[in-house]
This record gives sequence, structure tokens and C-alpha cells, in this order.
Amino acid sequence: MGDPIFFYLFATIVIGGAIGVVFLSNPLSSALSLIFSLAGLAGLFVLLQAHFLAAIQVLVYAGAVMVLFIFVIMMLNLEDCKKHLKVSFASLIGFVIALNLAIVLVMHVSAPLFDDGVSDKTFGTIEGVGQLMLTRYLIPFEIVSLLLTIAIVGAVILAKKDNPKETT
Amino acid sequence: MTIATDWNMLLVKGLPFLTLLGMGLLLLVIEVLWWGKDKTIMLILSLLAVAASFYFAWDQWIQNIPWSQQLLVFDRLSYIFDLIFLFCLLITLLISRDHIKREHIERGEYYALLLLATVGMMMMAHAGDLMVLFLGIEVMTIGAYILAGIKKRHSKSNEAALKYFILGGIAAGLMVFGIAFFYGATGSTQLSILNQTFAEVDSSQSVLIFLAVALILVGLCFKIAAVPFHFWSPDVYEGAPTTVTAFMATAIKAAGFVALFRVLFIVISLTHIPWVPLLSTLSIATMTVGNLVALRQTNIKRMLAYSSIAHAGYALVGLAAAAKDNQLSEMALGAIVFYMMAYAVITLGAFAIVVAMGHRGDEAEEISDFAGLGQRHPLLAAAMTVFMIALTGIPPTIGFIGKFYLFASAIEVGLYTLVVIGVLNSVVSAYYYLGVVMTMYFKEGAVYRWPPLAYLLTTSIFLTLLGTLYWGVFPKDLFLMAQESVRQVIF
Amino acid sequence: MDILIFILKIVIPPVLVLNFIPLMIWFERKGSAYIQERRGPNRAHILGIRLGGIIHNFADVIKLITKEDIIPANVNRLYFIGAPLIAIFVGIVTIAVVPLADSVQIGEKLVHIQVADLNVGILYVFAISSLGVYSVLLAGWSSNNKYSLLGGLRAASQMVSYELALGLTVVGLFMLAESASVSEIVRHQGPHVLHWNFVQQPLAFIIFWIAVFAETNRTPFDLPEGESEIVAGYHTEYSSMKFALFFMAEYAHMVVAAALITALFFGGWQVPFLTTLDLKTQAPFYLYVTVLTVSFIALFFGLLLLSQFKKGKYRDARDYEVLVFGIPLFLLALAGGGSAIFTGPWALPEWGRVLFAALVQATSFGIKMTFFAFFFIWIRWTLPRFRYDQVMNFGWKGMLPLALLNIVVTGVVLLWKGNHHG
Repeated sequence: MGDPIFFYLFATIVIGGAIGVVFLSNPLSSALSLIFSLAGLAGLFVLLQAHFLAAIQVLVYAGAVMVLFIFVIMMLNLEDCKKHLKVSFASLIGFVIALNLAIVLVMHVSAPLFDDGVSDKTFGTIEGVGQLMLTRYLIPFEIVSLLLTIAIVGAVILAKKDNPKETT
Repeated sequence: MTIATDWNMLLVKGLPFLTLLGMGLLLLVIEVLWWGKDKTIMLILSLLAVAASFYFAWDQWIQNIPWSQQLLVFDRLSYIFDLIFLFCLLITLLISRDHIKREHIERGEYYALLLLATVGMMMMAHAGDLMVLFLGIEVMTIGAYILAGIKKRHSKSNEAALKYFILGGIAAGLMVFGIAFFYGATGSTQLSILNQTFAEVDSSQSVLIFLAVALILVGLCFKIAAVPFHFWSPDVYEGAPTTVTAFMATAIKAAGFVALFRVLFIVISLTHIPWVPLLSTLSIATMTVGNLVALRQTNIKRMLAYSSIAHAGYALVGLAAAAKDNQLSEMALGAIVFYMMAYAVITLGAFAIVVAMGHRGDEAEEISDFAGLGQRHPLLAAAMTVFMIALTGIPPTIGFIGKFYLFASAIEVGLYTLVVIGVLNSVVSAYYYLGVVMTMYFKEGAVYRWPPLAYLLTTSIFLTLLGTLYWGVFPKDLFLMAQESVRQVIF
Repeated sequence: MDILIFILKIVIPPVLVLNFIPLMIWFERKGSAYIQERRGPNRAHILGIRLGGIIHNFADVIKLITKEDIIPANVNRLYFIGAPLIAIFVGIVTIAVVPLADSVQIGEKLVHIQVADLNVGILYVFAISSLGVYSVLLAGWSSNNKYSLLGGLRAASQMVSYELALGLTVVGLFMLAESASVSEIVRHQGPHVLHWNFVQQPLAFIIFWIAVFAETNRTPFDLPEGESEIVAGYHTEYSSMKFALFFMAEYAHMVVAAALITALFFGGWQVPFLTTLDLKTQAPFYLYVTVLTVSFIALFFGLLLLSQFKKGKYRDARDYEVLVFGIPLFLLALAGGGSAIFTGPWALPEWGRVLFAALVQATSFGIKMTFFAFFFIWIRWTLPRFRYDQVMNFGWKGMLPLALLNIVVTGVVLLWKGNHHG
């Protein structure tokens, strides 16, 4: 597991980033906080020996998905949104439930519940992940590709300009 | 860690969804390569695929050799839901052609997406692992988001797609959270393993499992539009193209219920969760809110949306009854399966008529547009009357039989209050269903020349009408089939 | 010992990259000049020493450092200052997984001549370099200037688009080497030139090369700073050392890109036709040959420089520059060549052989890398810039399908080979 101090470091980054997303008023700052949060998560993955996942986490989420988020934010040229704490019924309920969830998690999940698989030497390597994905989890893997196909087709349909001849 | 999979077996057992998958992808290719403007070929190919798939699913249902590949399971429950989805798809395809021509959304992707979304639903029905379940849901809903927004130039359609997308995204997030908690507590997402582990849960994990169950239930309740997770459905149903709405109201609802089944089979053994009060509350809220709000609707699609919420509530009565003794009872589950079939047949018929009412440039989605239909087109009005009666649950229609079985299963386990509320709700619902009938026969409407109905549309109306009445009078075979389907469920 | 290696590993890569930057700038200035039939920088000097224009870099640096550091009004200071830092950081850390030589056995320990031999190897490079886009985006956005913003947006879309092709090309290499670790890919290529990946994976090589140009925002993909349209793109508002950081980062990226091309497609540290074992066992002979060759070259250049001496050409210290370099070179050549001829081939101790092999390999790597780094400049002054829509079309409709095709073909070939020879 490495030094617990790294765990706390990365955990702080993750949570701090997440809090930043919610509370920063500038949309761009929020997005950047999310990047920090995701990068911290990658750090946690490294501590768990899942190097491949960590690299992909940074590559895909921090490096590509969030770039598009920021791209859109920059295009829209959003103003700072003035957040004033408004206590509405919904937000109150949401807060109570979230607090409940947090308390339950902190109280009951203080130790690793099971340790399984980490002893395996190939765990978390490209070989290990690839092996699992293409044998045991081949079916979910293929469903994901179907999912992405549908999403791409959908994006193309919705974003493509109509051919003026076709719409008559 | 590896599991030996009999791929040949999987190929044979999976033919129902593999056929649809192959045809869906083929249609995407054809859409790119096809030179002609006429898309009839797409419809024909889709119908062929549906027919083939229907045959395979039926064949497997008859053979009844349950088989589990751990990630996918193949039992009668999954095949009967395959058949339900295929029926919904069939009727949707039949009513689609004229509607999408009018709306200028006739493109190969429309058919392909319908087929692929159905593949997602089948994945849910066959899920032996929460991961597959979740991915199936996502395949289904992403297809639905796009279909809902496919009328790009209509702001209502855009609104529908966006609302559905954002709320659906949140629901999916909650559900993944729940699955992650399951994994955290037990180290597996596979339903069969979860089933074993739940026997020996200790108290520290049970909290986590409780959270997991709660979060997953929220995600699924969103899919079946149970109160209080129903807010998306009226707007989405209204904005989406009517054919897509028909598909969403029936197939997606059924898919939500089969997913609920798959999860409940596992978690029902958790005795520390008060299943009956939980499901009863959900059911009462869903029925009551759906029916009460439906009273005030003037738009037929919104009205049917709220009615679909209410019907999900009725089906939940059955689920509450099934959950009575911490193991799902066959009778109640069979009743739900039967109700899903009944509801699908009736609702598809009703939507087919809504589609038939529309013309180019005028979709006739207000209830007031039905005024005078009794004079203008007596047959159509008569069919609509039958569907409205069926939705209310009046004999001799399949709607009555469905409700009868549901309430009977609830009475059997002693949930009298629930049944009373259910019946009262049915009475309330009569007001707005029969309101449509009143409008058709007793109100003067605009007089215009009725264009001849397209034969595909006529066929679908005829089919649904036949189903509603025939099974309303002779429900035995269908009910036995539903009962058989839940008898031998595997994980 | 461990600590020493540790420190060396931390220090060497940044030093290497940073020291390549002036060289690259010199390449750029001199190379562009000769391509355009000019002389290039030849005035700046220290005590008459010009080093063919390299001293010009010092003038550059002094200029950049002493300029006023302007931060425009209404910019987001945090992001404005942070952006160049990200740029240079990303440029430097990516070199960490590139091996400079074969692993060396020191006593009990096997020392890798690279910062970290990660299992995920090349993915680490992509992961870090994908963060580089934020420097450009943030610089563009925080400058509060529409040209900067346009530059940033262009950079973001371009880098994200070409990252796909870039990432997919290396899949073919993974399949060949059965590993994603850069050192493993280098080792797998072997010393034989025809087994290097540019021969085995020609399509991947070309796509990778093009995509790398796009990733480093170099011509013909330098739209983010296309001066004919958007002033200077994302760094329009930057001045002084902050601009210099962007400037340096661009060259650092090029150096890293050249290092990657070398490692992935040109055998990295592999010396053509000589394995590490060959180099070690035959070390005395090769050392002998090397010293003789180097001496000969030094002799040649020393004499060439000395022949250039003409008193009164500039009438100041510059007149003697050729002597300052010519005489030592000449003497060095005499000493090296003489000692080699008269005392020569020397017996080497074990550590000497190992060191020699590592040095030769590092040199081999350096030469290849320098060539590819120079190539960036060569291309820049030869080709015109793409139009924006051309960049996007080319990336998505040309490179991406080809990269996918490459994977499929590689897979089929490997499968076929496996069936017939395995």
C-alpha cells in the first residue's frame, strides 16, 4: 500500500477538488478543480497497484474529457455565477441525506472490507487488465463498445447539419 | 479467475439479441451506403430481424433449458421479457413509418437505434451481473435519449432529450454508486455470488449493502418512473416523437421492471430491509400521484405519461405482494409479467391511434383534437374506446384481467389496504380515461376530410385491439405463460 | 550508492532536456537561415567567441529576463501565471520513461538508465502530455484577449484530435513488443536496423510522426499561434520570462518528441548491428576505433579552423576565435590519435567495458534524437501551414482510420505468423 501519508495526500486532493467544484463561483475554476480531483483519484489508483487504470484515468478524464468541458466553458464565455446560500426545502433534504451518507460511510467503512486479487502479480498491469477484459469480462466489454457506437451515432445525428435537399 | 465459456452455447442462446444487434449495425452501414431516398428497405429489414429474433426467443422459451454464463443468464423470465420487448418493437416499427415521414426524421439511424436500444433491454433481461445490468440500461437509455431528441428542429423534442439525458445521467450515477457499494461490501458484482454472500453478511457490511440497495432502487425507480422519480416522464413523453413515446412507455417500462426483478431476487433475502412497507409506499405514491395529476392533463401524450406512472404503481402492488415473505412469490411475479404484457398491448394501441390522428403539420396531440371522432371515424373511435376502457381496467379487456391478477395476488398475502387504494385509484382513473371517450362521442369537433389510414398503422391498431380483447376474454394461456416464466429463475 | 543513483536520475533528465533547448534554438535560427539562404545570427560574442551563433542564445536570454514583465489588466492572475509553468513542467517530466542506454549491472543491482521503468510506460507519456493542453487553454482563456482565446481553442481541439491517432499508433508497437514499457519496446527492436519499428510498422511511424507535429503545435500544425490570423495565438499577451517559458516548453516538447520517435521507432539506444554484449566483450577494440575516428575528425576540423585564420578580418578579438577552437582540437587530435596508435588497444576492466557500452549507446541515442529534433525545424521552414478545417479533416478522416487500420493489419499478421510459425 505504500506510506499512508500518500493516501491522505491524494485523498485530500480528491476531496478538496470535489469541494472546489461545488463551491467555486467561476465555472472554469470549478472545472479545474474537477481535474485536480480526477488526478488525485489517479494517485489513489497508483497506491492500489492499478497503474494502468491510473494512466488511463489521467489520459482520458483529465486529458480529454475535461478539455472538452473547458472548451465548452470557454466558448460560452460564462460569467461568474453569484452563489448565495439559499436554504430551500430541496437543498435541505439533499444536505441531510448527503450528511447521512457521509456519516454512515465514515462510521462503517473504516477498514478494507475484503482483500482479494491484489496479491496477484499482474494485477493492475496492462497485461492483467487486458487479460480480464478479453476473457472474463468480454461480454460487458463488448456491450460497452455497443454503447459507444450508439452514443457516437447519436452525437452525429443530433449534431449534423440537415441536408437541405432531404428536409424539403 | 477465468471462466470457461461455452461460446457455441452462448451463440445459440443469445440469438434473439444477436440478431437484433447484427441488423442494427447493418442498418447503420446501409444508411451510409444506400443510394436511394426510399427507406422502406430499412423498415423491411428491421421487421425481418424482429421476426427472426421473435422466433429464436420463442423457441428458447419453449425449450426451457436454463443456462447461466455468470455474466448473462438465459431462463424463461429473460426470454418472456425478450418477447415483450420484441412485441413493443414490432408495433413501434409498424406505427413509425408514416409518423416519421411526416416529421422528416425518417433515416436509417432511427430504425437502427430502436433495434439497438432493444438489445440493451434484452441485456437487462439476461443480466447475471450488475455490470451487465447497468450497461444494458445505459445502452437502452442512450438510445432513448437520442430518439427522444431526434426531431432536432422542435424545441420540445430538444427539451425532452436534454431533460431525459440530465436526469437519466444522475440516476445512472446513483446506480453506479450503489453497484460500487455492493462491490465494496462483497467483492463481487455477480448476482449469483451476491446471493451467496448475503447469507452471511455481518452487521458492518449490512449498512453498506443497505445503501447499495437504496441507491440501485432509486436508479431503477427512475427508469420505471415511480414517484418521486417521475418528474422527467411527462415532459419527455410529450416532447419525443409519438412513436418513440410509445416505445418508451411500454418497452422501457418493462425493461425497468425486469431489471428490478433481477435485483430484487438477490436483495429480497436481506431481512433487515422492510420490503413490504417500502414497496407499498412506493406503489401508493406512484399510483396516487400519477392518477391525480393525469386528471388535469389536456395533452393526450402527457395524459398517457401520467397514466403510465400510475400503471407502474399498480405493478408495484404486485411487487409488494411478492416481497411479502422475503422470497418472491411466483403468483405475484407472474401477475406482474402478465400486467406488463397487458399494459404494453393496450398502451401501444392507444399510441397507435394518437399517431393515426396526426396529419402533416398537425400532430393532434390535444385531447380536444379527439372531439367528434365518433362521427368522423367511428372505427377509430371505437378502438380508442376499447383501449381507454382497458386502461381503466374494465372487463372484458386484458386490462381488467391484469389488474385482477395483481390485486388477487396482493389479497392472497393480506395486503388489503394496498388493494383498496389500488381499486380507488382505478376509479379515479376512469374519470380521465372515459373523458377521452366522452370527448370523442359527445363533443363537436372540426370537420375535415379524413385521409385513408396507412395499412401498416391499421395493422398495428388491429393487432393491439385483437390482443386487448382476445386475451381479455381468454387470458388463460397467456397467464400460464407468465406464470411459467417466473417458476424457474436462475442467477 | 543508491542515493547517488537516485539523485542522478532526478537531475539528469531535466538537465538533458533543458540543455537541448539552446541547441534547438540554435538549430532553428541557423537552420532557417540556411534554408532561406541567409547567414543567420553571427554577431553576438563573448570575448570574440561566437561558436557559430550559439552565443546568440545568451543574448536572447538576457533580453528575455530583463524585459518588463507585463500582466495585462483584467486577467486571471493565477491561471495567467500558472499556464507557462504547466507547459514547461509537462515538457520536462515526460522524458522520465525514455531509456538512454541499456540497463547496467552495478554489483548486485540492475540500474535502469531512465527515471522509471513503468509497466504502463508510454501511456504515462501520453497521460502527462495530455495535460499539456491545459497550459495552452488556460493561457488563451486567462489572457482576456480574443486572439488568445481563439489560439487556445484551436490548440485544444487540435491536440485532442491528434492524441487519438497518436495513442492508437503505439498499439501496434505494444502488439509487437508484447509490452507497453518503453525500455521493453526498445529492447525488443534489437540491434538489427531492419527489425526497428520504422521498418516493421511504417504506417504507424508516419502517423506517429505527423501526430507528434500536431501535438507540439509545430508547423504545419501551428495554427494555435498562426500569426497571419490571430497575432501570436495563446501567448499574445505574454512577455518577458513567462513568454520565454512557453518558448522553452515548445522546444522541450520537440526534444521529448524526438526522444520518443527514437525510442519507439528507431531502436532507442540500440547501436546498429551491435548488441550490448558485443559492445562489452569487444570494448577495447571499439574504443580503439572510436578514439582513432574521433581524433581523425578532430584533426580535420582543427586544421580546417586553423586554415580560416586571417589576421585583420574584423580587427578585434573575433579574429582569434578560430585559433581558440582550432588549436585545442588539433592538439587533442594529436594526443588522442598518437596515444591510440602507440599504446593502443587498451585492456579495459569490467566496469570500464560496461561504462563504455553505456556511453556508446547513449551517444547513439543522442545522435538519433538530435537528428529528429532537427527534423522539426527542417519541416517548419519547408512546409506551409494547414488551414483549420484541413487540420481537423486530416486528423479525423485520415489519420484516425489509418491508425485503426494499422492495428487491424498488425493483429492479422501476428495471428497469421503465430499460426504458421508458432
